[in-house]
Amino acid sequence: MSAPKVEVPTERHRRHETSSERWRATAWAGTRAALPVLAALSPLALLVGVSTGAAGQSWAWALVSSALVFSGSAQLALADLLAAGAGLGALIVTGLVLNARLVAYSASFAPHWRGTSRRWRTVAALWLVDPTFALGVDRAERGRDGPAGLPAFFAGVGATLWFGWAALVVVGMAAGRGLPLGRVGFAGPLVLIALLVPRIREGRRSASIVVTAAAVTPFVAGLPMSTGVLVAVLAGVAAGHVVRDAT
Amino acid sequence: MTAWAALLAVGLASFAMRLSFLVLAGQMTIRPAILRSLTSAAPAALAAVTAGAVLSGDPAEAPSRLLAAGAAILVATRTRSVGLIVVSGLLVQALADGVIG
Repeated sequence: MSAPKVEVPTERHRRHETSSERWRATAWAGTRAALPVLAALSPLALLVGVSTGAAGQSWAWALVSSALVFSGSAQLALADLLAAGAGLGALIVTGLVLNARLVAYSASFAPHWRGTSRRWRTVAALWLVDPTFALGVDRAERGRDGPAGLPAFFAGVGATLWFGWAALVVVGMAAGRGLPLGRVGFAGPLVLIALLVPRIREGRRSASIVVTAAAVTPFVAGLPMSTGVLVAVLAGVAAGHVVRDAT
Repeated sequence: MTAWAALLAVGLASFAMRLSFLVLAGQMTIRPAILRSLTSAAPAALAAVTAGAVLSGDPAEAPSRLLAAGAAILVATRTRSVGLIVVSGLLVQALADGVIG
């Protein structure tokens, strides 16, 4: 008879512990999902560091760039343009054009964050970039976690890639030219493919968007200030308006 | 000076773009047609970035890169393991370089 009386507080205590344990387990799942992505992107991060050093920029500049711009293509373009002696206007326009896609990621990701605190959504925004978006949306759409699950998972993904990326950029900067990045450099594009293919398999509409945008890209790659990306995105959006999912 | 001005402008604008719908648009109502276009733009942007990354670089290495990309797509339809997809792509690239080059 006395056994249940003892068990009640223990049970409550255990339930409290489980929720924070579950948070940690979900965040750890995010970190595990992000680690192979970080490994595959490391040649790109090192290259960003090498280029930033070659452009004559400081550690502080490299770190602020990794923290705020946080995008391989835009960081690389800024470093290369600085090395080429480009003006302020060209630098800003190119950086903005290359990162304009973040608005689309933000819009596409936002519905999954309904009901979460403003603080978490601000942190999520800071860490939002191609691979974190792809991993986060994939997790959210498979509906593995409860309402508190996505912030935990995304904390693991975001922190791993954000801190890991910045650290690798600094390593690249310290090592300088001479890093053997040749062949493994293609791991970056391959990891993007790994994150993109699940989007193709979502349905006919999603597949038509992805295939159209990818197919248009080689024809617009030469446009000035990297505006080709915007043209490819517009073509994909147009395809999304034409093609409907089979019902 | 130019470098810092450009970095702060691009960095802060990037953060604002990241915040746009996750935080700033929380209270606004956005027309469904616009929202639909924006949610289409996300996979389109991911695809454009991926295609651009696959196609950039030395044109002489393009055939082996395309073969590697094709192999990675094929493997990605069978597994979700990022490591497996990347490693098989790199292996096909190395093999293709051996045969072509």
